[in-house]
Amino acid sequence: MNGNLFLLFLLVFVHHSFWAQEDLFAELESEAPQEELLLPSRMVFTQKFLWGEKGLFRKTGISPLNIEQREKELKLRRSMLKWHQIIGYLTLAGMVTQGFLGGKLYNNWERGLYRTHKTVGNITTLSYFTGAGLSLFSPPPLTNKKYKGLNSIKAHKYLASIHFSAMVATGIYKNRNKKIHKYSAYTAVGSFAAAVLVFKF
Amino acid sequence: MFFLSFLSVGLVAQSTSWKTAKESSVISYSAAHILHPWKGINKNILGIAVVDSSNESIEKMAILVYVKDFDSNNSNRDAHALEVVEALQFPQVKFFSEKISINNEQVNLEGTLDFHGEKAPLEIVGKANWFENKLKLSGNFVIQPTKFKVELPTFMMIPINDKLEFDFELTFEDEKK
Repeated sequence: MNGNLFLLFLLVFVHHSFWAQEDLFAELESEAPQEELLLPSRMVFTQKFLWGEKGLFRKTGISPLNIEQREKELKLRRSMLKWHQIIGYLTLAGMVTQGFLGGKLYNNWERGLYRTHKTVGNITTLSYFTGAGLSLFSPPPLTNKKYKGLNSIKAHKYLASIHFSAMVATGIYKNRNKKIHKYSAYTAVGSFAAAVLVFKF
Repeated sequence: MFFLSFLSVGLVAQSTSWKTAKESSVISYSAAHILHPWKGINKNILGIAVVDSSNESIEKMAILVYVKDFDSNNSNRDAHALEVVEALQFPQVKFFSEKISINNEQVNLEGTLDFHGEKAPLEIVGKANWFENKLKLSGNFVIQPTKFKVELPTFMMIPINDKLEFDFELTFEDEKK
């Protein structure tokens, strides 16, 4: 009789343990085995050059491609993009100031004003390219899904290629052609402001 | 002996595991920043309900989703979300409950939510509809990401609201039938 009771206890125990939490989750995990993807399928060429599977940092051993390192890279990425945002707002403020100073200079040239315009211009250019570098050279995200149609990040990127070219032109033509300098500067400010505005979290 | 074995087998036989039907199961979250709200959808739901169909009750339920499967229709936002929830270290979100009561159409689930490596009790009130070899559950619940030690992402230096509202629609099917 004791043996029978033991058997009953065993069967009931087996029944309960069969549906144990760990077993249920193990069954679910086995249903959909996950591929461990450390890098996105698409990334900006500058990121690929540094952080791609065969990128410079991988080949030199500075940043080997593994989970621990990618976790550190993603923290670095967050920090770099936070600064990209902050510097972006400061750059926009600098650009607006430059537009104001530049407009005044075209109407009434003054040495003092010209010097201020030049100094603010240099600071704005420096902050612009620092901000751009923080985005272009940041470690890649974990995912980079592709969507059809225009969305905020696509618009931000298209506008970035416009203001980047305009900023380069503004610098090149500052002492060569005032008219081109002026219009490229306006293009840079307009497209930069639009890039800030279209960006959605 | 025969009687006892029969009784035990009977106990086992009453409960069967029902799995979520992928094509009709979805979990979504709604989040908001001062500038705008958004929604992320996950259609890759893995779930098991241990069901006693003889009295239309659920003994246990386990739900597993991967954070990478939430899609908010904005790649940058999803990438950012994966960073703040540390998806490489904590890729899964799990919910387990063995305190489930159903009264008419109302279902109460008391369980544990395992998210970002932190476990917290979670109580959900939803709706249950039984069909032949099929059970549909729907409802919603709210969590605070900071309670799960998730650092709130910021935009324009302003963090998102510390509130994620989840909606779910799950269909469980008896695979053996």
